[in-house]
Amino acid sequence: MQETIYLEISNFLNYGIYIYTLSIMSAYIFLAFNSVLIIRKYLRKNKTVYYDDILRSPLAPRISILAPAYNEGISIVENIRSLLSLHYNNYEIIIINDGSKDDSMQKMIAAYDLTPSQEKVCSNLPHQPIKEIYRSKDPAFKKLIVLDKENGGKSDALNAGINLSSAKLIACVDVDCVIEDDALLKMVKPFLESVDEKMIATGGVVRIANDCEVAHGRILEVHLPKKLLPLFQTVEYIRAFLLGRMAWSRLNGLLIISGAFGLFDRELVVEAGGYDTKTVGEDMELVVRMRKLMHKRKEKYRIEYIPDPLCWTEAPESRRILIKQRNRWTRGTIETLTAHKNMFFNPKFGLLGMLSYPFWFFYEWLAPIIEFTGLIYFGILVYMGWVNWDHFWLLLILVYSFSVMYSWMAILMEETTFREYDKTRYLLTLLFIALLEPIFYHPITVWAAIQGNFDKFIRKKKTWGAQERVGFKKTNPSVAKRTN
Amino acid sequence: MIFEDRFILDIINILLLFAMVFLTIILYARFNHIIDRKWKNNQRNLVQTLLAKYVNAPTASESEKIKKRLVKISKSKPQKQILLDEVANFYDNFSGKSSDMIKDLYDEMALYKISIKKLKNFRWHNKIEGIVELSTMNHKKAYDLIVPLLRHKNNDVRRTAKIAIVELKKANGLDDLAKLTTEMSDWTSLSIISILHRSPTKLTKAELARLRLSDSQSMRSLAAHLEKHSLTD
Repeated sequence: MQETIYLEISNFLNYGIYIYTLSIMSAYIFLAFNSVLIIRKYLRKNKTVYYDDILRSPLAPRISILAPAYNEGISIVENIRSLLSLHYNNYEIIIINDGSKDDSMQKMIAAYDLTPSQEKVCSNLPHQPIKEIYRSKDPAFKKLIVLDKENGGKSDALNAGINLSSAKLIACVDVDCVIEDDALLKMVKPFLESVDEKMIATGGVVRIANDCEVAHGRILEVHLPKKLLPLFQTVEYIRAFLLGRMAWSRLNGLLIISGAFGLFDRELVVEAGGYDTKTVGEDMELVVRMRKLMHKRKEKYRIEYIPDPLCWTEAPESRRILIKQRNRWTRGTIETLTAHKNMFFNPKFGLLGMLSYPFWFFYEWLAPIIEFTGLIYFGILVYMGWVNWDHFWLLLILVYSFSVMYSWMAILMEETTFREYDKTRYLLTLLFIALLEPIFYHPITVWAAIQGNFDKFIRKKKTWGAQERVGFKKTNPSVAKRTN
Repeated sequence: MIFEDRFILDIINILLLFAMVFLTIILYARFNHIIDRKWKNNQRNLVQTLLAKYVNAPTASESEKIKKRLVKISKSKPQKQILLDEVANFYDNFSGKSSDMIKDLYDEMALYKISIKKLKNFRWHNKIEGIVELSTMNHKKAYDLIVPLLRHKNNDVRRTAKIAIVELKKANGLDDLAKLTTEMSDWTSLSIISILHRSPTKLTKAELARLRLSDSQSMRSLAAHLEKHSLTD
């Protein structure tokens, strides 16, 4: 009797893991197919696009760039200078100093000749009190506004910035990222082109900037990171953005616009209630809320991703910081999915409820948990001496070969489209790293996700945690800390 | 389990086959890029040098010689495309006599035939390329070939055609646009306004009045913009 129960459980786990593995692979192949179609269309369409008309036009929609800053004293002056030189005619930059404890504010006042301004901020969205609003006396920096406020975290800072902004569109950026010159032009294009559907947000592809040559807030030369961990993340980012986000963009099922760089319809953001200050996954949560609002309004809408590399960010170089980051991402995913659980397989939300949400639930949230459970189960089987080793090796080779095939497909997309890594040795390195990633890097991300689940459900952790940056190659390599 | 294992083995074989195909294409694409880039750069440099000499040629016989050389080095399809791209670049960046010379060269070498051929191609992106090339070169004779594309099934072809007919015939182009009742995106409106801004000739009051009476809501709002931004006489 007992043996039959063991056999039943064993069969259930065997077939469960087996079917889950096949379903996740099918889902990813489906996404990759969609990505290929949309990127091909984008490249064909944009081969002959003439941006100059929009660049020079005073009628181009006004954009407010919102950049929250906390203890960014090392690079804040340079980062603002890079934002000031973006190619767009009609924009303003709102730097939100979120109660920094370092000399960020003094440095900005000195560098940009800032003086207190008497303007009032509307209170559409709640946030911590504002100490002062500064504008520059120098007409060269007339686009710059600095909002100094009490510390309240990234979401709180963004909400304050949204209140101050008067533009139709808001670009939420991480102040420490390097934004490409023409990024705003490319991001605003879908908003201007939409006729039948309302464009509510666009996102830009983010790339890893570690060891790239950066000067005056610009990427001068793209290099691959020298350290192994950022190298793994380079392959991961190419795969996630080119094969993942682009596919969801085609299906109009995006649930997230990267917090590093996204452009949003301000009016809708305000109507949706702005950024949620109680979650660590505020970027995903806002997008889901905006989409729900559009469903409630019964209006046709779209969210798009631009496949061009528009934003360069610094990836964690140490395992400890990477685990912290992924832990936070996992908690953010859980918080968003649980906050909007009424969407799960809810046909009222169309593709969002029937495909996007279940995908995130089964393949983003549950995948590491199932993988970890599988490992524990495997451990028990080894201990009991019940392992069918032939079957085990086959399953392992199956997962490994899929992972490598998928990464190589992403590299193929990169090679035949944007070719950011122009040196042949970089290409060969990426191909080689894709072979190592499933063995050496993937387990770290699974472990971080497990920790994230533990922190969320057992420790009830709600904070961002300390985030450490080392700065880009050209900047001062001292360590900056960010605790929101 | 044996059947299942065989199934897994089959999937592994397929995955490995795809992985090898991807790897081959990646390496081939890179090899091709290295070879192609070198060839294209050389060809482009040569064409640019010859075009610069052509616009600065002191005598007609010298120009003729350069023209013959350009014909000689532009035999294949990719060579002709590079020549067309560079001619369009020169035309866009020069004005006055130099621009007129480039336009004459374009007409004499019948480079517009390449773009017109693209208009007839069944692929939408080739049509767009053709439209853009013809409008950049201000090849007015192509106007009647572009107008039917205003009703093309592909949205991007329609959008490019709308901008191109205004680029080619300004107010007359707007008249043809006004006959359409389809919605026009902000991108198209902004592009048209910019074209009219750059144009030395302005719309007459009568032309503007016609636009205001259009059935198309987009045209009526475009007319309001044009009036507001003083783009009329």
